[in-house]
Amino acid sequence: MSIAHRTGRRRALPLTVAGLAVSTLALAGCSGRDAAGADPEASATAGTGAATEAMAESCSPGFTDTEIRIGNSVPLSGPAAAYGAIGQTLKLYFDDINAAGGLELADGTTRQVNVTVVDDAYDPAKAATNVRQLVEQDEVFALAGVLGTGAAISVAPYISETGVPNLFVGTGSDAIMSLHADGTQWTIGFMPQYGFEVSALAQYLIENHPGETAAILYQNDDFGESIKAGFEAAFEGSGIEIVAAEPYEVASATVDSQVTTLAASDADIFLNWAVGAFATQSLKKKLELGWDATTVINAPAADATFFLKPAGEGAADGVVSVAYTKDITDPSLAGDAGFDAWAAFAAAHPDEVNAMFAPAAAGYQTAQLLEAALAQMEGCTREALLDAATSFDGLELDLAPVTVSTSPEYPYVFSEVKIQVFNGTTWDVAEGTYTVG
Amino acid sequence: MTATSTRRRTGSPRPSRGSAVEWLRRPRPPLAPPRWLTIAGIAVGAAALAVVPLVNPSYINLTVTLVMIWTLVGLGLNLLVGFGGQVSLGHSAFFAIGAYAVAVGGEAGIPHPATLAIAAALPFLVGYVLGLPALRLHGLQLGLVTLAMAMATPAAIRALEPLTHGSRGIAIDGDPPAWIPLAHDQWVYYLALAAATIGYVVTRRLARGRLGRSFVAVRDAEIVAETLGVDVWRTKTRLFAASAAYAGVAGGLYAMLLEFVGPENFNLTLSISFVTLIVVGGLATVPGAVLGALFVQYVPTLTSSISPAATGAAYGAVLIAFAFFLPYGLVGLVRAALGRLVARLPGRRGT
Repeated sequence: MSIAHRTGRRRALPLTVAGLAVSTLALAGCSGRDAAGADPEASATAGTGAATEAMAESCSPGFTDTEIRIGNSVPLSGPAAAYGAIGQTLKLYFDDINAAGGLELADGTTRQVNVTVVDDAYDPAKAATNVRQLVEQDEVFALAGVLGTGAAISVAPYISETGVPNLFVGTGSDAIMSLHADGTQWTIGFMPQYGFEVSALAQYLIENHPGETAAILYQNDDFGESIKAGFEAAFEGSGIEIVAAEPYEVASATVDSQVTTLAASDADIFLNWAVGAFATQSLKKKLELGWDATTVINAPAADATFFLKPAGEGAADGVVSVAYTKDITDPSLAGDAGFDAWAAFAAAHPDEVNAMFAPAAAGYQTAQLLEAALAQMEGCTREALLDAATSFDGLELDLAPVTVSTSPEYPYVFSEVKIQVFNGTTWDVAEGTYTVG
Repeated sequence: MTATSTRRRTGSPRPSRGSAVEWLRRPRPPLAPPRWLTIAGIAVGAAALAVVPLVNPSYINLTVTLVMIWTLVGLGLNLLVGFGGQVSLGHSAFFAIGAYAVAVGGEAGIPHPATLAIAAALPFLVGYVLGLPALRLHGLQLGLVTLAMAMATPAAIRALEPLTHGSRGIAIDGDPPAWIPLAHDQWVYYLALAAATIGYVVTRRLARGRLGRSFVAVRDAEIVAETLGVDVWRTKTRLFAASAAYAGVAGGLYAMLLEFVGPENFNLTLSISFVTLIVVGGLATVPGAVLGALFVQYVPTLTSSISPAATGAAYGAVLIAFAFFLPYGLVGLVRAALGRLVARLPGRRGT
């Protein structure tokens, strides 16, 4: 009897829950954020109560007479934690400027630039939360140096709606170009566009290795396919012919068999689009097999300390890649003003900055790009910052071997790169620069 | 341990003797609050949840929505693992199927809340089919098979490039229909709230009803259950399918929330965090899914804010502490802390 009684009550409860949920939902529907008379952007700019387009003279949130706030989300924990150095170096760079009094802007006023770095563990969901938190809670003026294609693309609609520049994101994905074409123009990529990297290298090969044959190792997905198609298109009618192509699975254990097959083609050029540890493996295997070909390697794998030298003595000699950062592991660069400035910066922060570490150098470059954009911007709005960042004209960075010129039409920092050749210990930058288009 | 097996213990709890650790590790009956408190609690909770997105900025709504999404996964996984005793390390696969159902469906021109129906149906079918071999596999074997599923997910997404756009991913327009005056974050919040509420109520009914008892019977003594007339074959396949559907809807909401899906969103760590969720929350308890979801959403952020370098270690330490001191999860802790208090409240029904 008591059982029957209880069941009756239990059945009523879920109905109560559902009823309440439905009624509150109906209530809520009447009072959305838009209905309250505020447009979506106002929720982000509520702090200062200024709708940017209505009052062109008033400043965007995160920009005052004394301070500019910048937000950054990078992996500080998890497997990709090494890239956290980008955010940490960015913050240190501006902390130094602040300690020396601040950054002088075009209006003649000196301001503190405060960078907030938060951890996303390379999880796109966390990055999305972080970006909203930075914009709404910390009220940052702009974002800089956010890492990852997924993070950049997933926050693109949000930053476009709220009008926050997402500057110098750590990717070269062609997806940023498609976003840009669709009218979502607040994201700028820091790395050279992957398609541009291919065309620059192809042009170098056509000039320096005419009439040779090539073999390509690529990831078995649409990224790899697009690289392969890019090379094929660039070599069209040039005399260079791709005679062998081997895809590999990202989940596989080794690429040895692919390299062996490619070596059997006896091609003169080895287009090596293996990433990470696979790059090291493929170089090692190539040496073992005694395959005498010029290796061309993708930019993310072109790290001497992590991927090239571990392949063993002689394995990486003559490797070719694009250069958009000076070789920070090369002590002979001492005397170069930019390199010395970097070395001095790293020496001033021995516990935080590793002078040989590529992500730290990327953070340093991001910081200098942001510094230049802030110093050049006319006015105090986010639009002005985006304008400044897309109108660099021959900007010199301490660690870039080329000058930086940007335009509103091309959403990447580097529209010009050099080519570098590895000599076994350091990189030699080749003559000539390669321009996009 | 479970709703079914511990109910008979309901009675005056014996005053605790022995160490605090023993006290923590003791199994406890579910709380039996008086009816007025239950109704008041539900009313206040529902009102609070309905108001949250209207008064908070979008980043808070985003995290609360994620908690509801994890809750939904937890409810489904707990049904399978906690009540059904079938190990699954592969729920990120169903989650991904749901997410891509929404993304691909949206690209095909299906309006967005409707894509969530596909996000439930497709994983249900896949779960049903995968439930068939699961009938023959037990324990670790099933764990391994589902683990392989989780590991293959990103590769499978890349391989299905014409549909999924491979590693480029798919951008999704998660905005509400024009006639609904809500911002994107508020809209997805209410969708997730509705889904989580329905999921919660349905799971509660399942767990306490005839089906729930047959799940537990199959878990604890398959042959006995069969002798007593439980259709083991149907029970297991249905469990797997239902559990996958929960994860699918959650994945669909996740896609709408982030407005982007790519293969890197659905890696092995996601599956592991699902298992963490139900173990920390409390196996075979329904409220455990909510507590576990709060845990996986907020604790990593907390440990990371203490020291980014020690996030992994701190998180691991917390998990070990749970395994040692709270074998019944957060639900066990809540029961231990509030049991006496609730028992003294007036208006409680007699037992």
